Amino acid sequence: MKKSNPLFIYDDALLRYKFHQDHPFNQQRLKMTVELLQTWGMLPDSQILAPVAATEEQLLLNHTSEYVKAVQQAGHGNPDTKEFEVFGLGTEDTPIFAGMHEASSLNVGGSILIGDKVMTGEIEHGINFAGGLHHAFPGRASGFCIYNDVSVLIHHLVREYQAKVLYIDTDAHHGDGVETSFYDSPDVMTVSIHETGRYLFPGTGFVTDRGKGSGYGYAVNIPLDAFTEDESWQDAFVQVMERVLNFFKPDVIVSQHGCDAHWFDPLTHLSITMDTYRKIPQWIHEWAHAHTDGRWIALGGGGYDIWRVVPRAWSMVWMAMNDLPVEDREMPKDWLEKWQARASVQMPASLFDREGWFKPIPRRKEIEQKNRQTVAQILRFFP
Amino acid sequence: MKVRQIMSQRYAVIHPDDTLQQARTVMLTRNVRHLLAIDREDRLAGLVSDRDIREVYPSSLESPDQHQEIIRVPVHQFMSKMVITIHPDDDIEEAALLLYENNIGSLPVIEGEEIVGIVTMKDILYALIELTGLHTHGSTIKVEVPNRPGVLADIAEVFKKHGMCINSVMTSISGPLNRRLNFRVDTINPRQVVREIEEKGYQVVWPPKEGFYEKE
Repeated sequence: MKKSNPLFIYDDALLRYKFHQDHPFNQQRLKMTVELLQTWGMLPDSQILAPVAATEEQLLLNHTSEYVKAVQQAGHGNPDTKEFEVFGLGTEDTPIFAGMHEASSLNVGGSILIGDKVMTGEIEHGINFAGGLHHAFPGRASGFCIYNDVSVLIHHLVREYQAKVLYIDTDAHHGDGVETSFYDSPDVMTVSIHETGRYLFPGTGFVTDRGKGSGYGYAVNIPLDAFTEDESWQDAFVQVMERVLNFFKPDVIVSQHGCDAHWFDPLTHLSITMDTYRKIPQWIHEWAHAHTDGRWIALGGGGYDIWRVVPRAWSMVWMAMNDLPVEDREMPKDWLEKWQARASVQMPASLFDREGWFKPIPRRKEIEQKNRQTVAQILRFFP
Repeated sequence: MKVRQIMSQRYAVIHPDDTLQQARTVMLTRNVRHLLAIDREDRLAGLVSDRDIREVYPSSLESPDQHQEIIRVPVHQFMSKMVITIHPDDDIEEAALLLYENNIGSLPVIEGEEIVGIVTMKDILYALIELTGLHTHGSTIKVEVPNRPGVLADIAEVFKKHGMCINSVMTSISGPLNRRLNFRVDTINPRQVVREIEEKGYQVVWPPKEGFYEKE
């Protein structure tokens, strides 16, 4: 039986995951991505699927009932911020907003929906860009993330389908919440490539953090130096992933597509370009067909330059997933005009970044050398 | 931080009349580099370091029969008797200074007449890791400041205003008149606080200014 085309989770209701007007985590990027793909004729209505909110029982796969209760209460009525502080709610990173439980449950539900469709064989791949909120802990919000849809999804995949899950996190921040959820599990292998935690939030994800107990060896961290560029990033990623795929035999790949490692991103200091964001989904697509019979669930993540980076990067994930040729092209005029009117910066007119947009990094050689040493250290751990 | 907080209470002991061979075995089986030599009244009589053992133990390249006499030498013949000790309520920086200035690896911790533990270079190293905040969650912010009253409070005020928890703070000397402050702050987005610290006239060294590399 031929499987259906990939599905894309979207509904305007997902935009309700909104802290406030000036908050850097801005889901308008979802709408921008959808409209971009629609303008290009790459996203027919038949491939769009509205999410269904996760049930409380599903949330409890990863979260404590005290925490879920706190999120519910915080989002309703007049919350006393002090009371919610222990849950990481009402902070500058994760402010309280009306209906936050409902909005967050919808994110989680979207990821589970794609997970079910992939595991039952209805589709090979699917995307929930509203998901990928990898920082949330079982009992605490962190780094803009309320519920950890990734951890809930992976718990669900393990429990319902006895699946072995390979999680690949290319966000510029360490995927600490997901790693912690499965740190002692040999059924779930987590790989996170990120800017070193020596300076950048969340401050974890070092080379020697490899899991514990029977899960030892099933967590891999690739911490890169600040100002790492495309070539060095890609070398590190591919070298480590080849060893990971040789070691772990997954049933399904879950990938997190935070795109905040780009030059333009205001929150991190990595310096990669669209070249890497074009290749990541193409590699993962190939790996899925080579190792998991095509089973691949793609999620969103960080990405705080919504004008210049996120729609371009995410549209390329969808193109790769649908086997559409990923070539440089002009951004559609109408789309550009509409969003440029609201943007605070000049939006790029092409899908790819162009020569001359970025200045050379002065310490390139040192950075590349340090990253090579990091990779060598990681590879020494493999059997 | 006090010595009591970082010292190890499970120290390895030997008797001054025990042999070199016994001392070496205890060191190997307990996987330690320092033994406290204690007398019949449980008082500290000396200290045996792995360096002391190596100095007197026969070479492994020689044949074993030549060893018989040497390995039966009693501990009191080669142990260090002039032992530098420390009190559990002393500060760890004092312990660090003693280890550094005397070129030694450990200090027995003595309270009154009683031995209560041992503090080694490794314990100090771990304390240093903790002090740098490397084990804590958050973003790093480094600020170069003039060494004058009120600077730290001035900057802490900014974090307070934004409700951000400072998980760790460390200062280092960066010049005769300057100090470098290293904060570990519980936030993914330090941009606004960085702006405000700069508005107060301080130089933020990390994170780099936006457009540091003239991002377009």
